[in-house]
Amino acid sequence: MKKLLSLLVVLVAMFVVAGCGNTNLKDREIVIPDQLTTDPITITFWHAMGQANQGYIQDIIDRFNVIYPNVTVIQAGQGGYTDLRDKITKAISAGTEPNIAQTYPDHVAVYLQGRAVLPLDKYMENATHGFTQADLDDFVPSFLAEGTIYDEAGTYYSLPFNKSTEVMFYNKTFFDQNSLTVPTTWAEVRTVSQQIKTLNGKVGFAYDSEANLFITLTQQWGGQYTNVNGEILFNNAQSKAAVTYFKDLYTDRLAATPTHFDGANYASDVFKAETIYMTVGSSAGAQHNNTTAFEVGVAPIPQYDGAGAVPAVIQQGTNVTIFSNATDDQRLASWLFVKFLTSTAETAYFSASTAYFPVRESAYTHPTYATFLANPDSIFVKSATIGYGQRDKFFTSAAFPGSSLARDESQSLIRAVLYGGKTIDQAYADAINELVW
Amino acid sequence: MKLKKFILLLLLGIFSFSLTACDNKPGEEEWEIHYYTNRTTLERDYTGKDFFLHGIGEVTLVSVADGDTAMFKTATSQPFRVRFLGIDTPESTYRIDPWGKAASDYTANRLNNATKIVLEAEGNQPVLDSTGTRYLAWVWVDGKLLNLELIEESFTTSKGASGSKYAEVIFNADMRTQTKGKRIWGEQDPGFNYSIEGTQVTLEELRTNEAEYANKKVAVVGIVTRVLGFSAYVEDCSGETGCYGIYVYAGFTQLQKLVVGFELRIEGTMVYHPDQETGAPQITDTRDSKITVLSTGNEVVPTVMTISELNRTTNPTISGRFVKLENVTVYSGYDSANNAFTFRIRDSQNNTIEVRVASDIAIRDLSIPAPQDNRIRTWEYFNGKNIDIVAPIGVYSGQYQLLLGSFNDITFHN
Repeated sequence: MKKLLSLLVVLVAMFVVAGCGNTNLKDREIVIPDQLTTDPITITFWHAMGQANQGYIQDIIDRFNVIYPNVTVIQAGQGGYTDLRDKITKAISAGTEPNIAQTYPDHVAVYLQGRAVLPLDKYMENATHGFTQADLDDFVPSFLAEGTIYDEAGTYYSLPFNKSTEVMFYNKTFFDQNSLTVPTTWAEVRTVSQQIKTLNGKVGFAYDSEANLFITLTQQWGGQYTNVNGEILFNNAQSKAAVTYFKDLYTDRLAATPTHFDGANYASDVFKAETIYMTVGSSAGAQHNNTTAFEVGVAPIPQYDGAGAVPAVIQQGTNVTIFSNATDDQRLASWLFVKFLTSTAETAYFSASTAYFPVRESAYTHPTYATFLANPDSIFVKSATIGYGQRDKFFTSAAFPGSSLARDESQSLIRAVLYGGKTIDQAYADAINELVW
Repeated sequence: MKLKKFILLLLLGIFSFSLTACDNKPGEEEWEIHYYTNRTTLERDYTGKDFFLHGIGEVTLVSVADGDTAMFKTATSQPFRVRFLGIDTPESTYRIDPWGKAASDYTANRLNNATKIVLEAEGNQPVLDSTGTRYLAWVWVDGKLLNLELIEESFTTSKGASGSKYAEVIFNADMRTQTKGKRIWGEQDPGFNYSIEGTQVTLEELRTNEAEYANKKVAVVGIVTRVLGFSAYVEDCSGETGCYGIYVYAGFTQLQKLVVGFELRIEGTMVYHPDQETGAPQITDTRDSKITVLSTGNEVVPTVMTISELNRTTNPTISGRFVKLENVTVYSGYDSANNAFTFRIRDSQNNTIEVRVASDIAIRDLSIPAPQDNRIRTWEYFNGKNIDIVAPIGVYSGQYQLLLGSFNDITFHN
């Protein structure tokens, strides 16, 4: 119940919309000027990026200013993603939200409850400032589609920005020395981990994110997790079978999560220490699994290959959203910046600098990204290319106010089953009880 | 099934409008920098309590690392590092960011002039941060919450404050402070070098006049003597007064040009890590594009020294040098997390020094064939061995130590 109470605070802050703000421009009709004003204009971009990535964003802003010299774009790092969400929620209540923000889908779902998000469709369709059909076709379809998951009409409330997925990192030196085969299925994970256990008694595999483990395996086993209406659907046989499968791997000490390893916050810590030899983690977090202690291999994540299997790899990362509380020119300037940010050259630049995926297909052959790909031995390149190679299996879980709580409960459920001594049925019942009345 | 609870929560949220609708912020005409800091007080009783036992207690300052990290000790504890909760000031140690040094100076000034410092954990017990080396705490300096004050001084945004006991006031302060456009929110740091090019300087000049180059962009020339993890040591012996070395920190990125025997021109920033008193100078903020290969295949020869010469008081500028110690014996040690370990060696005169193997260094006994695990994970492997060792000199807690990079850098005599 504590989590729900903390959410209450967020919602309370969010729904207090009318009283404090000095401005309330957000409920106005969308009017798109034919030309952007040439008067000085300022827009703000809040995000959760660190110092290095802020430098890349500033480079993009500087290039944007070559085209639109009268637009001042102020970027502001707001800490972590949770800080960013909570500050924007608070700012919405005060009428001081930014013009643009980096967003996760469940954050957008919260902001939408405050009627604070600008629908992008009219801007995308605008003859002067919008996208051509070729532009739309150029976006990676699953990335673009993530902006439309908030209502049945498929209204666009975001465009993709920094996208990633999960890949499996493995100790290639160890695999080569011992003639082990990199597993592609969970059955093969069992086989290889058993071989490793026979060799040296160690747990072979660890899944870094317990929430992603639950959500991904539920998907791979053909089960449902949640839906866009906020319904909690994971209390099903397929999901339980998936968790049972991983629990059995853990019981046999063939696979685990970081919780198993005392003092480890991340699976990458025990991976680099050669306590384990395979780990599934974020494709954008390759640096954390990077080491000179051994050669690191990168492979697609294991898939379920039993009856009813659904190939699935989670799609992660953020989008960019424009807020409606702004003048027509600020809205247009924000749209033009987001359009610029997601252009072929700029997504190629940002991705080559950070190892996130470009959001447009054409960026993969852009000279900037081609230069990045020219070093195939780099773990960043391997991670990006292997990760993107799984795109036909990408899925996203539904976003709704409170969907982050479902993620939290997914983590708790895995911990309860693996380490808390709870039965599968009890752990599911507890999780459902936390989430559903 | 629906999330019915949300309906209730939404209704409650609407009914609660009046509770949190408007933040009682001061107007422009009555701007007060420390508005929230001055109105936030420590509610928990810390009298007679201990930070480690009770999650709150009085401490004394040992040293300041940067704007959001310092070392303290309690009446009964050894010194321990503390990362301030809810904030993230710009870097000023392994990397230099605008306003990083100023934030560090501000924190140092407040803590060094404090009459009473109280650390408060978020819960009833202190917890470590994700690095596992620093305790997280709210830092009360003479009754003022320094974490909050640093936000109101525009040295940091809030980070990781969500869900914490001071989240509300921290967010309010952060939102209010950002609108003023001060320091990190829109001002140039007069103490930061925004130029791209570093000052060309020899390692001899840099190491013998360190104060002049600390926190500045430099370009140095040296030969790579050892690569440890992704980082490396370089040395230059062309000076008039002998050889000088320095550590080149590369973070998590493998720099293709850091190869033993390569003579390099390296651009970066010289900083002390973790600080001047307890650590060593290093070159940071570099990458392959800022490194020029001048020559390759240079022979790397360690300087034979004795343990008694590895004394930071009598030889303060030899960290980073590549040295060889002969006929020393391993006599004690300890193991750390993730396969890191340290062993101590002594010579015939009982002079001693520590040898460190970091967690990202795999020392492998190649005489042990696959599939056996040949990574050495404990200092006891070396216990009692009489050895020669070659290694660069590092600094840990103010003392020199050797940093072992490879099994081949040890010659066993027994």
